Amino acid sequence: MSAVVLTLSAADSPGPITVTGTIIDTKCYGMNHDNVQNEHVVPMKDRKIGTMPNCATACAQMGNPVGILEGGNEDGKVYILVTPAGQLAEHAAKQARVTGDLAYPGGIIPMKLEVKNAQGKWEEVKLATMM
Amino acid sequence: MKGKFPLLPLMLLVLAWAGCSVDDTGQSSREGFSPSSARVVESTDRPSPGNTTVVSGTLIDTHCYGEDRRHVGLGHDRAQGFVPGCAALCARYGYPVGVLPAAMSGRTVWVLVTSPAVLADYMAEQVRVTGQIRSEGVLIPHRIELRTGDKWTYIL
Repeated sequence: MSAVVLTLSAADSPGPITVTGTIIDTKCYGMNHDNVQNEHVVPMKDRKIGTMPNCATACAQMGNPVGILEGGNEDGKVYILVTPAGQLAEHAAKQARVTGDLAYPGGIIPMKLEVKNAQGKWEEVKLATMM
Repeated sequence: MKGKFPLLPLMLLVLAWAGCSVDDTGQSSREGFSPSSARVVESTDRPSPGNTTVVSGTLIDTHCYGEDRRHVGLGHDRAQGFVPGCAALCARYGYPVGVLPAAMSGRTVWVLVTSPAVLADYMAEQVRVTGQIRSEGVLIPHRIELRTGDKWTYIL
């Protein structure tokens, strides 16, 4: 009856990686892989399904961790960005390129984060840190 | 009784089994699961996305622990000096929090997909998290309990 929870081991030495994809709200995406854009499919009253505009932005503002969905498609690997979610709220659902330390199997401490602007050019997002 | 319900003992055994959860410390619990919850990950299983699991360990700030594996406590000895309450400050600031399982070592942290600020007061404490495996090392918590003496107290 004794049991343990196993997690897969990551590479022994963390190193910087670069991932390109879409910035997502990891909580809503975890519930439904259609939730890649800012508007999300959410359960409503009476077991109905509705949509919530700007859901990803709102979730990030509330502090739910944001992630990057590699390749932007639902089969891509998700990396949680180990940074305060609120500062990426306005970039939810944007195309992004992040370079950082793969500190966890599913988490990157970003050193540099860029998003595609309206002209399709990469624009660096300044990430504030605690210290 | 025995003639009418020959399978009753077996059914009771199955029901008892279904009500149990098991965490990484080998402890069993009959709380924290909804009837619809998926199965609990056991030692013979690989953790798969979608499975429900129970993890207990130390609540850590994933930013500082990611930079230095010694940053498990509340205060952290950083380059600019010792920072008291660093883990709580980081969680309030919005860095994701995680659980470092007690019975394991190395990089087996579960990052929690939840608002870190609400857990800031519990940083460096022992917690037990029941949740759904999102992906490798990432857990969507359904229930978080705090170790208080020899009991677990529901906090989220």
